[in-house]
Amino acid sequence: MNVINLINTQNSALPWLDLTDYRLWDFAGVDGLQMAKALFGPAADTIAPWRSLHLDWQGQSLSLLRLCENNFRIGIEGNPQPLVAALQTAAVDAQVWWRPCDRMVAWAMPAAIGADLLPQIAIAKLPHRLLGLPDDCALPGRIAGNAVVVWRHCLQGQSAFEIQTACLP
Amino acid sequence: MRLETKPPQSLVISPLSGQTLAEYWIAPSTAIAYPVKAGQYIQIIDIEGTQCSDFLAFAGEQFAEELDGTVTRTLNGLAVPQAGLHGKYFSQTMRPLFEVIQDTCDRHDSFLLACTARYYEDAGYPGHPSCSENFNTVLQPYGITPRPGWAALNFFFNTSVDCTGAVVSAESWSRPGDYVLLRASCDLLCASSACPDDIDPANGWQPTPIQVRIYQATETFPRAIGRRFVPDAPVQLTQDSGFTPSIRQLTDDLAEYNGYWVPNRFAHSGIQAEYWALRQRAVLIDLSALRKFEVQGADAGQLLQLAFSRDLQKLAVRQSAYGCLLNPHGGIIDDGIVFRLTEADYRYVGNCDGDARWLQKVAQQYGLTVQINPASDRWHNLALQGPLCRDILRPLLEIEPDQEINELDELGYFRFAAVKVAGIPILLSRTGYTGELGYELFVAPDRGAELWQGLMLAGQPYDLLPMGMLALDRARIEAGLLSAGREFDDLTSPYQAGIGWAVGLKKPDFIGKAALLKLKEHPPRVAVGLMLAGNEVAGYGQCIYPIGDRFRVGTITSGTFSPILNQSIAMAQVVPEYAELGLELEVGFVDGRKRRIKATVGPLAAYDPTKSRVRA
Repeated sequence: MNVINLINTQNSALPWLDLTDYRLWDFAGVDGLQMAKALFGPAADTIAPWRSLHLDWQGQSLSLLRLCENNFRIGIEGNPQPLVAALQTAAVDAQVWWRPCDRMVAWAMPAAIGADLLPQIAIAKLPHRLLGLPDDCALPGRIAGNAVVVWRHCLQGQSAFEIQTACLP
Repeated sequence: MRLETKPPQSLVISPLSGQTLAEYWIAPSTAIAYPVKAGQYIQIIDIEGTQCSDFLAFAGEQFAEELDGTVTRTLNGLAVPQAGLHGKYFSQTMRPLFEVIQDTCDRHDSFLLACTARYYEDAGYPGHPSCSENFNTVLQPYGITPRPGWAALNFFFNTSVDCTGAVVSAESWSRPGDYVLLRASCDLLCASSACPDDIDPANGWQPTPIQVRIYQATETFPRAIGRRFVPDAPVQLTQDSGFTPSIRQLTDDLAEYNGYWVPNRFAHSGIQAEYWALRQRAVLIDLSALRKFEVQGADAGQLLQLAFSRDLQKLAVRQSAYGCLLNPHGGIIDDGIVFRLTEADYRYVGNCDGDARWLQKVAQQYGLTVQINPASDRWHNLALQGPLCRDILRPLLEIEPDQEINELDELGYFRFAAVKVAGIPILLSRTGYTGELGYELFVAPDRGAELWQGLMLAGQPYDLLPMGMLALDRARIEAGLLSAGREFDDLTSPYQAGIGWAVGLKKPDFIGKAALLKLKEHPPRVAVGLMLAGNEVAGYGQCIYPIGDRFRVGTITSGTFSPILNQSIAMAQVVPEYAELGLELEVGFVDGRKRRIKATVGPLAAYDPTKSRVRA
């Protein structure tokens, strides 16, 4: 069973956010950090792996999550085309790959609800800590044995817990 | 309590606690199988030393799940799990079966089979008992199908993979009484052997017994690794500093370092945030793993003049000096700081427990009247570092009488004073390991938590962050500061390590002087900094070449990506002919030939090479 179905089964009427216009993109490679800095400024290297930045990028709401030294994930609300164009340009002459996260789906709930619910159902991979996870922090974990990324950041103007999980085959 | 066979009285090893549930004695060249419930502890003891004990664990219905060494190595990223964050052993379904809680040997094998009949047959010993056959025998009553060889976890078996890929084994490192303590994660059927191998050095050619104790799940044993810092010293378990209880509230990512649990990074902040806090604001670091020794007596100054590289003749009371302890061939035994406490009392702060023995040996050799007393248990230390650290400290400070300073701002670089911080007696030293303005605060361990909380609270308006070892390592590489085992060892001279400035060659005599006089003229290598052309980070041991040539001119000792310089940087040691500032060299990546990255020789400290920030 999909993780989200599982959560819904156990918790009726959760106020999930509508993520119809929300997309995830990944980029990584030896020049991943430099690409992040070129796209989003030097602040990209002020965040550690599993931390994120929330940006107003060309009028769009965007969060940049660092997954490793040179691996980043972008969550963007609205039209992704300007971002795609920017990624395309920045990747020229850089040793990076970039692609949409089409192997994953994302769900999100308001932070106030997630802060109560998730510690009851999710297990963070040590040494990450789910309890007290602040804004702009993420972690790998499991819900009922299923791998998830739990990411607390700003979505639709509010603090939210985003849950990313593999698409059903 | 069940004792299978009674051990000889002379071989009884005291239990870790009074509450043992079961006790098994495994006679040499035999094996046993025994059940353990979830949460219970299993202590496997090498009674006489140098004896391997192979271990199997099964779980689930009909014991279908079993210990899987490959899964375990992969999930931990370690050849053998260690007590701490990466201490769990897994089954083929990636389920944790047990966790290593304590380990006083820290040298085991997870690659090879338990010894097999075939091993002995091929060596000309048909019919020799083997651990695998012994396991088959004891597991048969549980319905477990025999195998010609069991993929066991081989405790105390000393193996390694050499540079050609060969798996080599040698005599076990374990000493009499060494043990591993495991905690079962689920109900287990275990099997342990006392290995019968007497045809090679694995058991020192003489198989001896193994003892197994089972403790109740209600017991609490701290996670620890046992180390002997000098060969004949008793084993010491990893300990907490006076600050560790506070630190544990902020992170689960602690690693064993030099006998202490130290934080790698802090939850919800991470390396980059800690790093930038250091460079822009302030951080708090637990450096209690440093070793402290009181050097006192009529000849204390004379001893340090002989053993320490710096000329301490003019060292004033309440002044300190960085340098190193030297061996007769000019190699660095350890680096550290000498504090002059009074006219005749000094404190040496270094990295190794063995430093005290070396100082004692020198004192004895020269007939000096000196007392050298280890003080690491009496002084734990925090480093408060960063451009705003003085502002944090200033309002908390009361300077004790007769310290020759009236306020914090008067405390000079490499000066120290007796003060109170938030009412807590401290030795406050203006020193550090970060390349930033900073102070080190030496405190009695029982006041550690209070000091930590006081500083964290006072630092809140400045966004003070605690900093872990990963960010510290990045900062010290930027600042060109040495790390033992990377930039130096006892075969490395100060001239090679980049601290030739810390050698007082004008002193009439000191240990290693004759060798250093020669080495100074042409050290085999010299320390330089490198700026790499790409974003890849070079690691310890990577080779350095002239551009276009195949011969090596040096090796990397430490590398990192410098956030403040936005540049991949490294500390390296190269032959003097290739150490000229501005010279372009190549760093070999992959196998050293497939890819070369250009690198430019620069000062050892890539960040603030003039040290203006630490002197600010």
